[in-house]
Amino acid sequence: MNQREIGQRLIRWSDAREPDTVSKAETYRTLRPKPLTNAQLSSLQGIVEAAPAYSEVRDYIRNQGDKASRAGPAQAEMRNFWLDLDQTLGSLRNDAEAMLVGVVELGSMTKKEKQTELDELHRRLMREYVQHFVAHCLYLTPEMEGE
Amino acid sequence: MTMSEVTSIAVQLDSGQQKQLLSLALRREVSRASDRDELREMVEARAELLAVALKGNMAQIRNLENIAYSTEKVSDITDYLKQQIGRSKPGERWRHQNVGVDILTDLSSEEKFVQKQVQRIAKLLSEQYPAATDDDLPRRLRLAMCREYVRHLTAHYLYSAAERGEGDEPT
Repeated sequence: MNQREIGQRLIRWSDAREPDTVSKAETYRTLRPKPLTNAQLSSLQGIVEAAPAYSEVRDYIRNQGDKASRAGPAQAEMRNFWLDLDQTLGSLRNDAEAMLVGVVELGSMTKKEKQTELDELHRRLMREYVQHFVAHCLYLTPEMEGE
Repeated sequence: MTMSEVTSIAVQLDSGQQKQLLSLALRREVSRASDRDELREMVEARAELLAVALKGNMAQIRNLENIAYSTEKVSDITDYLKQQIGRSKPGERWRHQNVGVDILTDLSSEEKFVQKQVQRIAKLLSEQYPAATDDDLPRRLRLAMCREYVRHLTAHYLYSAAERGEGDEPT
């Protein structure tokens, strides 16, 4: 596999998708700095950095969404946020698949090999997306006096 | 040789030759833009303010420089700035007199010098080397211009900090 070409595509993708992450952060601006706290953003980033598979990130996000649902109407917007993030990060798998076209012979790979390649690239795209998103969230709502 | 003469010769070259020349021309044009007084004056003002804001602390400006020169993504540079601004208290450090936001704007705004130069150079190079340019050229140019900006910012920051009696001890 041409790792260099994939690396180049990932770089271009990351810079191109950064404006989307800015829009996403702006959409949920009212959730900052509470109820979407710096600690939650750090946890999200930590999970995305460390999780060996997308399923762990998805479980974490869905768990956060469930907690918001149980908290009742006051947390409805938080629930929407986690649902939206789940959908967005899940959809990055399509981007990963598109990124491999022409670089990897997906047709000649076993199902497991294909899965492994896609999992790895999907995780890398998520890291990029979440890094941009968290950075813009922090920028929009900086620390307040006395924090 | 005029620019139109350069263009008329360059367009006759094959794609491989154009790519080599494009790489050289990119560096030349970025260097020229980097030496412009307009950029120097803007960056020096930011660096002097930042040296006051960070009290000559070297770690953050060195981190910015390291990121700028180790990454291939413009967004890594802007993410770092956003994080520093987000972690600063009102009126302090990267939020002192809005210096962090101003630096971010210098690097991102279409109205500012960096982006204007990116557009100008991209247009020039795509006319001169049409077979070698691709749609990633403006992004690569922006990264190169951001690196120049950060290089000037770091240099003048160190100078300002030293003038104020702050910063690293000489080695």
